[in-house]
Amino acid sequence: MNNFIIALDGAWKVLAAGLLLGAGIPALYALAVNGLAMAQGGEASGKPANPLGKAIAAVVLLVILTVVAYGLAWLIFTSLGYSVSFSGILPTFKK
Amino acid sequence: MTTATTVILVMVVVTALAFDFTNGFHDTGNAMASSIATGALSPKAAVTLAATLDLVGALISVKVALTITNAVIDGIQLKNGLPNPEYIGTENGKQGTLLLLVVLAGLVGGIVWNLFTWLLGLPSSSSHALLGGLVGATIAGFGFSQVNWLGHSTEKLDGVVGKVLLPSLISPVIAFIVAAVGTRIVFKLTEKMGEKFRESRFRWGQVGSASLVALAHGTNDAQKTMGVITLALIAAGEIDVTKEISIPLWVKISAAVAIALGTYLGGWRIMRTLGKGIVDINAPQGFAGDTSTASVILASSGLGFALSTTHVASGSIMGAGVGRKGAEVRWSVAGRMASAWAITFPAAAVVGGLMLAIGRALPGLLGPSVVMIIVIGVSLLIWVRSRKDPVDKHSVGKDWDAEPDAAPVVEAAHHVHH
Repeated sequence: MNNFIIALDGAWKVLAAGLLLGAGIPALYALAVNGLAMAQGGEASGKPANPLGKAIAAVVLLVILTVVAYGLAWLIFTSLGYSVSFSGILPTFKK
Repeated sequence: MTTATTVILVMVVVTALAFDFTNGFHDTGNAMASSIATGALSPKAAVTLAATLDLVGALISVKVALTITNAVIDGIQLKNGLPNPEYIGTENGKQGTLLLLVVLAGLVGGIVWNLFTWLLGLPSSSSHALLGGLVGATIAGFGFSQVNWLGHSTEKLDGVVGKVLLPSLISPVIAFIVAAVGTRIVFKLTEKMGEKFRESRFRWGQVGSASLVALAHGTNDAQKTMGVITLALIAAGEIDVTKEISIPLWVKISAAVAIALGTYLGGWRIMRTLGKGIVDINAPQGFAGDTSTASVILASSGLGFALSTTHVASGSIMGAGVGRKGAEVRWSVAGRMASAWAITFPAAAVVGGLMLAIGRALPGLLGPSVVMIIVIGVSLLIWVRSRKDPVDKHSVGKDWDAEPDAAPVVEAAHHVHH
């Protein structure tokens, strides 16, 4: 019974983290692609080309890359045995 | 250490690396199936990328997994993962050899089940196959009560229930939800977009998301084999347990290389089921699915939960299928896969138990030698059978319901002309 309760408790956390990253990143990427479509216009977006789209796409892609970089840093450094914390803006690593 | 023990140890190491190899090709599809299905990556590029990242992931993971087996086997292992001193070495009547036999039998159980499910093209959990094999061998060798069924901890998931059963039920559901939500959002946000444009841009994204899954897989799965080999080395008395245990470098490298080589082989039969059999996937679905897989794997490991990368990847693919309106999910295929998941643990356990019984029944080295002959024989049989309806990198992307390959017809025509 114990296992069951711990599992359900943990499941919520995994679901929340999963949704944040696993649904969040695709959502962001969709926005970026929208920007690219806006920039190209014509068949892509059904409207005339709008250069603002490139700027939008660039910003969003930068956000995505930052998130992924943080995630990779976390993955790599925890695998190597460090403990990683994100209390500031930049992550800190401690052996 | 006696010569007999050395020989058995060598058998165990070779078998462990063989298991690692099967783990590799069993899981290639988890990372690459959707990318190959949509054409985001060519089959060759996909397996090269996956193999490289598996290698990298396996090499950077330093935290050792003695505790993977510890969670399910009592008595033989202490709480910290080390074997009970009773089973270390062979001097003074210690039973290190018996533990070696258990590990050997367990590995064979895992290999046989991995190969069988590969033949059937069913994605199933290599972790569960290994644990099942070990548990089966433990039961045969030490009795039912020596298996840690319910766990001893009040704070962490433990035991077969906590580390095998519950994660296998819960993680695919979580992955399903995450992927479904992600896919639905993507389609909602890109409603007005030209389809070809969307498809091409999401294919680019797929390369990134598939890479993340491959890396996550590498950090997760090679460890199991490293842990098992280290356990065997300890049982044979080769490692001094009074000092802090570190994985020997050759173990780390060989396990990393074995799994990478297996990944490179491709596991096309399984990949086809994931990429084409369950649902015909397009690029946005693939991207959302892979991102879901990577996130759930990383979130679970981060929070300290055991998981099977295969269960998560399959759950994601189904969720991505459902997330797109009008997409057809072949529930019959999904159902067969779920049945395979359900019987993986017990089936591998039966093989493991049987192998241990054989290994012990025959005297000295004859026992383990017969076990080795059996696993080699079964592997050959399965491989030969697989050549009857081969799936390779050319046919992995074919429509699920398409006509079978024209190859036999062409061959027959060829013969007629002579």
